[in-house]
Amino acid sequence: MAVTSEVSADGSKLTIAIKGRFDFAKHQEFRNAYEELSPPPACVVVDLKDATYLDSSALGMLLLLREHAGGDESDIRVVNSSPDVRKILGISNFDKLFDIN
Amino acid sequence: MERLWRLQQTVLQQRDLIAEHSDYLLNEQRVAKAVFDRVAHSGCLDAPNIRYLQSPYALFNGDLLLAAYTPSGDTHLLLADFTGHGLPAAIGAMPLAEVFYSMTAKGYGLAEILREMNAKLKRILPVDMFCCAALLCVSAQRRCVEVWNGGMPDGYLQSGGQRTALTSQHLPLGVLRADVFDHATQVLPMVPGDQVFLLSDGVIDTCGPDQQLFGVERLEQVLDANRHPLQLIAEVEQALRDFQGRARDDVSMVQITSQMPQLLGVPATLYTDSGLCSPLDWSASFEFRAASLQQFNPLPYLLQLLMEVHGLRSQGPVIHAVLGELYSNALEHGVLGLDSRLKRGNEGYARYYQQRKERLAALHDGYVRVSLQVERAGEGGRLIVRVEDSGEGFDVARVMARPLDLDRLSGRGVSLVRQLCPAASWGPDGRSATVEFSWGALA
Repeated sequence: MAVTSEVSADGSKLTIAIKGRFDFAKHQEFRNAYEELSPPPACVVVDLKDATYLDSSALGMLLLLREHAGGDESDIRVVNSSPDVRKILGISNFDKLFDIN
Repeated sequence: MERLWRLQQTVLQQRDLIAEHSDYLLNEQRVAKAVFDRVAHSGCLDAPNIRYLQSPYALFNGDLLLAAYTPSGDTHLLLADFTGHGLPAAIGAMPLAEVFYSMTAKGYGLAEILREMNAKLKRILPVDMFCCAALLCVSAQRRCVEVWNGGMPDGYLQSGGQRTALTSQHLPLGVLRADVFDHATQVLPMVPGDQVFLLSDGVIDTCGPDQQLFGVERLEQVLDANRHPLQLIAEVEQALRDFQGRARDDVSMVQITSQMPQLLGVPATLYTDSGLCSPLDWSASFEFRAASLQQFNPLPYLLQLLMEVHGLRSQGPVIHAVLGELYSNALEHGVLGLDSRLKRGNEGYARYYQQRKERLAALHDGYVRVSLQVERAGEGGRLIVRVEDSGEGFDVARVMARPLDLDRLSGRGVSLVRQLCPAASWGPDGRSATVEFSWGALA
């Protein structure tokens, strides 16, 4: 699976890990990872350790996730991004919306 | 046998259906492209000081390039890139172009235009769609360029032998709600002959045969090697071809050279009446106080009001430029007490605009008053404008004694006003300025 998800034991944290190119092809899988969860987790971690590339539709998918998780109230962390991926997030200034490290 | 026959029938039917759908789609694309090409290519992209390259289907890949003159003769230039491809991306291009052209023609500044574009896109686009954009105002007269970059790759200002990167400092358009959107721009010195080069991410994301990206470093090598600015776009294109072996279909580049306008702007043509009634004897006075000065640009409204007077229409661009200078002088040097001598060199510019932002945000009192008086005079008439501020004033005699030097970077406002409007005068305390425009009998 290119997108895997895991909910912490207490249900408060969802971790979504992306493998390979993070682009439109992963659209459905990415949504499936968070949409059906009830109750929604308080915190979502997007792990990009194995993501090789990220395009603008992936940025769009992150925005959809943010909206779903409560917009300004959401707690979303984007972790383990490679320098190339971080550059893309940086150009779009997505660090103003997401906790990126 | 029967089953085989039915299978063949189904396959044939589906083939025809697919062909029909494909024809239909291709035709839709052709029509849509024709419309978008017209949207994207009105304006002044063909001006002699603008060079650009847009692959034929760049727009269908979400790239949009627009240019237009402001009423006072500056140039607004927009390079934008919608997420997604095809029709969804192109749909957003329409309202964006509409806002860009109409607000530029009415004399709005970048901040107002950006706020409107962002609010409009936020309202109409789905959450996962947005628009990366770089917007410029190139002013040869004020010898500067104002930049806003949200999500586009670094652009480059080439000034003398120096290259400055114009880096993205904002989220793309259509992401943030109107109340948290940041329209803060950067202002840099740019004298006639200097150039700005903007590009879409198709340029740096062009993929080589071994999946390597062209990247910023290779691009900067081309910029370093460039000897004739007018060849730059062709050189980048060649470098991409050498790197990849074939041209990509979503590459956009644009280069603008700062150039004094031949004719000062184009008179606005947005009049609603047929020319029979014109207000000829009136006066009005406005006082803009702190809370207004912080977030409101009164110039487009004042200009629109003045353009109801037919005799003034042909002078619209000059009136706009003069009013613009007087207003920003009153605000920046008067109310905010900024020293224009700060504006020397790149760093000074940045410091000046940083201080402007800080002082404006902290402003509690102070005002700019604008009085307009229109009266008949013989067969024609005249307009008298007086702009007054609550500041300390300046040493009028000393400033007036300076030669009309147009090559300085600082203190240009007064020179520009005196050049455009010889009848300009300043009150002895340096807190008010008066200019006059008259017209003769109308044909």
